[in-house]
Amino acid sequence: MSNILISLAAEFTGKKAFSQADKAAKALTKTIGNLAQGFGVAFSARALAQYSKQAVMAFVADDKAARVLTRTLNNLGLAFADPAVKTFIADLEKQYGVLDDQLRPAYQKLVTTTGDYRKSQQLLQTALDLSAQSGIDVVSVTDDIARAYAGNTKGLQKYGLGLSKTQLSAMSFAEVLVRITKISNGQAALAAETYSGKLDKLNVAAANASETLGGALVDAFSTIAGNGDIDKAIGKIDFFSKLLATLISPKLFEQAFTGVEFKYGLIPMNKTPLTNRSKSPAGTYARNQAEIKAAAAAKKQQAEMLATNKKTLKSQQDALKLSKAKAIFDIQKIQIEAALKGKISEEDRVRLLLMKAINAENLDDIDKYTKALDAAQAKTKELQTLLDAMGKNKLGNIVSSEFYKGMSEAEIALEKFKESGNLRIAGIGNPVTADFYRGLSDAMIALERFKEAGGFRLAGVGGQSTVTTNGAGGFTDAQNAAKLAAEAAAKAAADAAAAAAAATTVVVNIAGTVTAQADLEKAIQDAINASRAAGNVDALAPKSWRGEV
Amino acid sequence: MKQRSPAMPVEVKGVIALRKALNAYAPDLAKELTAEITKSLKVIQKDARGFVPNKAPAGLYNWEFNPNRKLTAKNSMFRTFSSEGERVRFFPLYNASEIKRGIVYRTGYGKPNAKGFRSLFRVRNMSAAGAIYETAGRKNPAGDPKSKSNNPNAGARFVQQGALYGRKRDGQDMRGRLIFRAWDQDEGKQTIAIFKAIDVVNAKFNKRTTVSSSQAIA
Repeated sequence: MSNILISLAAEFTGKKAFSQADKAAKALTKTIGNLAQGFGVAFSARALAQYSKQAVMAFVADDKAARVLTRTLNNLGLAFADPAVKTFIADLEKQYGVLDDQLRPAYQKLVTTTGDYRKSQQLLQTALDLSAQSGIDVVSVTDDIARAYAGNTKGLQKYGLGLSKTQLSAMSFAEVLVRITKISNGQAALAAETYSGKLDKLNVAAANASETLGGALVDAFSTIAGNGDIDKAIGKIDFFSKLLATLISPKLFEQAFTGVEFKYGLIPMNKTPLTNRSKSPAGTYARNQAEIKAAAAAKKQQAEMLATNKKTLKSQQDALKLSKAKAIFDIQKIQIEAALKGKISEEDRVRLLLMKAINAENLDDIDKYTKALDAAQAKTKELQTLLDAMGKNKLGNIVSSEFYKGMSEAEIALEKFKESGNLRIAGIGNPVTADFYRGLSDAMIALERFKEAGGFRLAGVGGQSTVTTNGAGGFTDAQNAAKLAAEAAAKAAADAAAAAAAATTVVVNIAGTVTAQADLEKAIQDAINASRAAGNVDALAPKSWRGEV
Repeated sequence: MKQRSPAMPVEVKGVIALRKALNAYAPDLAKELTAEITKSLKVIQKDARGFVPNKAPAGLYNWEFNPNRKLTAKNSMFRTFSSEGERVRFFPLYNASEIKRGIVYRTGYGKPNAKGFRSLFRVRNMSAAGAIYETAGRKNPAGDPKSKSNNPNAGARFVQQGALYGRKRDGQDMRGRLIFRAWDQDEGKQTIAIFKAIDVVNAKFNKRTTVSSSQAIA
């Protein structure tokens, strides 16, 4: 039936029912309370059963963790170290009040990373110190240390070791460990002696008791610990728990008497404690061999890890180099090939090849051309230095040793004369004319030019000058000079006239168009036809047109 | 007596006690009260019945009840099955007279609901087909594309052919086409009339049960 309705009015009547239910619940509680008072023993038994359940759970979890660690050690070839590791963890637990629930996974992480059980023990000790110092749980600290061992020191930053990120990255694990030890040494032991640490120890003991017994005898523990002697109390707790466990569990009862030897079948004697080590020489040998093998494996693992880290670092650096180089040269990538085809200097060619190698991410070529470029740049710098020095000290002084090597003294003198800028070649003209002739008279200038032309001789020597040859021979130098000057002036005038004549420009302007022969013929024919059509008579027209018979 | 908005069901106090008292000490007043309440409820009932169309909304093929057609599992598309695959009953077909018959009023207080309230006076739409017509399209006014129904757009078709009246407030959906429409259009008049009747009867009862009035009667 559908429940579509409109209630025009409603009254709340539930309160009564609720209050009745309330009363009923209270009555039930009271009844239960009475029952509890009446049957306290029964309730204690129930509580004990509950505690037993918790204890079983704790024992199962602990047992599982222990088995996992044992299996890990076996897998790493460190099975021989299992008893030592168990003892170590148990000792740490008691000493520092840190539960094995934390120590086992922490140790497992370290031993998996290092492959060395002794080193892992040291690292765990360090981790406990650092944990106590920083207040971060030991499992997290161990995780960070294990990562640092593998080369990732990022996790260590939060512990405030006084090292920057860069420093942490640059430092080796051993160096980082020294720093950690320096900062946190003794913190765990100190923490264990505080009230909090003592409480932790008590908690550890209680948890262990719970694991052994079925736990939760906290009231009894607090009573035992009331005298303030924690270690003694822990001992009592251990003893008490084991005793009770022995009473409860036949298996534990049997285990309790494994340490007892009955002499003559009656007198209980302490058995020599088992070290879980073979007493036979063969067993010792096997154990030693296993240890050596494990140590070698750990060493190999560490070496591989270091090599991998190095390789990774190199590839990262290479990638960084490339990315930087790319950022600079990407724009020119297209132009490199074109530039290489042009006429370029050797240094430019090396630069272009380097850019090309960078673009191609060819590290070998990059190295090669970088070196070549460095060499070229060094030479350029050397040359620059040389040129600078030339500017200051004159070329002759600098290059004399090399430049003049193998020359005769005369050649050297000639070269130096050239360097001085005084060299003149006859007939070409004097580069220093302007300054050299300044202030001289025309006669003097003519004389100098005569000298330059190589025509100078002393009067009476003859033979070389047209003046002397053609002249009377009695001319003085002044007269010769005057005559030569006059000749030179006349020649200069003639040359100028010839040059002026030679410089006449003839401009030819061609009007009209250039056409092909066939077109020209056609045009002529068309013109003739047009002329004839107009009534004109040309020479080639038929005779009848021309009025001839 | 505590009242809320006239558009909503009204929460009252003491009416049950009053009616118990009336039944015990003044049966004539109890009858009078019931008669007055009935008058008001009948108004809503009559209005609601008037909103029932003679024919089913168009486009809902074969939903209309046909007395000349024998409905079987083979010829009906309105077969219904339980989750185990067993047939439970035929899908309710639209029958105007049946729907009208299903619109009823009740003056006796019912069982307390989950929150502890007991309805005092109510109008109900009891038939299944009436409930469908009353509320179809409230949840999916544009149809339900995810529906596995043969007609997933039935909700939209209902809304197109008959708007929903009333409103949704305080977590209660008071929208519909029959009784909710009648209730909405009444605008609380009948509720007020009912409470006036209760007040009147209450006054009469009080008057009758006071010492002075008793003496006067005596």
